[in-house]
Amino acid sequence: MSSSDRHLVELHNVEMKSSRGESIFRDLNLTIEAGATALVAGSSGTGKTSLLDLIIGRRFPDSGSVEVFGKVLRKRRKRHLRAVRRRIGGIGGRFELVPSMTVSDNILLPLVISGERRAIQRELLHQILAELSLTSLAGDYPHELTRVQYTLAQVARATVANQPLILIDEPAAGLDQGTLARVFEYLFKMAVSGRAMLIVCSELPVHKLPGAREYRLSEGMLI
Amino acid sequence: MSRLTFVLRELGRTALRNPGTVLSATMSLTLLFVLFNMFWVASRTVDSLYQSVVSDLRMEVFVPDSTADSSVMLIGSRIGSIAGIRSVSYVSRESAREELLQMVGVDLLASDTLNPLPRSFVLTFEHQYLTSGHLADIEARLVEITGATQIQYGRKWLESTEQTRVVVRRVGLIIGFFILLATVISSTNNIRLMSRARAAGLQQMQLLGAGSWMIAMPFVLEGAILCGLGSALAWGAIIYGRGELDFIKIAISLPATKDIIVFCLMTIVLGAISGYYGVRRLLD
Repeated sequence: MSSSDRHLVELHNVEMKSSRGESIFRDLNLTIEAGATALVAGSSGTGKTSLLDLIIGRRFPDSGSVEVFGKVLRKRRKRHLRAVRRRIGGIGGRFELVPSMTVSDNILLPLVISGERRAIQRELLHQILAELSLTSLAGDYPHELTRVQYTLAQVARATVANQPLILIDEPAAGLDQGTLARVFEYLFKMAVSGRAMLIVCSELPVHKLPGAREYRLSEGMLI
Repeated sequence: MSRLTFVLRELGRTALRNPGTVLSATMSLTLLFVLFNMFWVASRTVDSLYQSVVSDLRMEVFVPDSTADSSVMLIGSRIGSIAGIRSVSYVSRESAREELLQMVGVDLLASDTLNPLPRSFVLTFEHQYLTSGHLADIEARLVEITGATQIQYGRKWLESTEQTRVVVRRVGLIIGFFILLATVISSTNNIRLMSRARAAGLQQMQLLGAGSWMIAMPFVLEGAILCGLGSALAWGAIIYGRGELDFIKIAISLPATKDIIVFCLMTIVLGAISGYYGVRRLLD
């Protein structure tokens, strides 16, 4: 197994400033290995969403490097960016469902984008809808869903194409304890299924995930 | 669902979710194309009127009294050898008198023993020589022929008719250019507004790794369809309108069907380009 196969995400000495010149990251280093789970907690404004943005190539560091699936992300290399993004699933605030599409169309989107055959698309869709109890909501639009249904639809979209890396933005936001436990039940399933996960949240969750490494984001560095 | 099916479904979604926007966009584009087509048809009609009027133009070359009848036919053949002259008809004194009688209805020369009317040649011209420039050249060559003393034709009338035609053409071109520009701006703006309304969804598609083609294509097709539909409706309106204007004596000249089809295809391309420009900013 090569280093790029083992290390899905590698951030080396990343420094980044905001558009107003304020430092967001100072010498940030992070490695996420295949199948591993990383939990990053930090209070509001510490750069949690910016960290996700770096990994999906929405933003780029001022210095240092961001390597995802063995590819260094650069703004001009759009083909690389697209290839990397197709292998990442997203859940939470940064990764909203497309409002004009039904739940099933939203879930199908990663498969359509990667050019998967129609028969396989149909099979995977039915499978995941049944698994997440979303079959009856397949024709609904995102604005018609409850908070938990919405999150489950995001989980379905993030995993339907067997994406090896899942980024999760504030999984606890706006959820009651019961719902949160249900969401973490799925996250647990994903963790044991061999997918790598990066979860960013304001507080470290009460629910534990197997083998998760916990970090705290403070003053632009991971502790 | 294939990518193409996805693109077509996105296209249908836009139309179904924003019927008012699509309708108003189609109507505004149709009106702009109607305006453009009207200038095109007006310019063509003026042109065909000009052609039909100018094709009747005659030039008359008078032969002086001192020229012997035997030399007249020689003058006629020399006139006929000038490039651009289609026909040369000799008008004798008697023919001239006959014409005068037909015009006035009374023989004004009944009391005269001698016919004082001049002999002349009436010239017609090849179609491509019916311009003031060419006729001036022919006139210059006619003057060189001994015996062709006086030449008459509606030179000033021809010059002013030509100027009017040029003015109509230029005004038509300038206004047509601005109408097309307004059409492109209007179409681009429509697509921009529609794409901005769906910016959040498009951004999510980008985060999932969708390529520019997949994101832009529904908008490119939308622009193409709206412009194509607008231009087809505009031609429909113009053709119907011409049928309703039968009472006008002037023959309204429409472009050939082939030209209309080419124009509609060009507007489709124009619409596709404006669709791409409308969504372009969201692709970065």
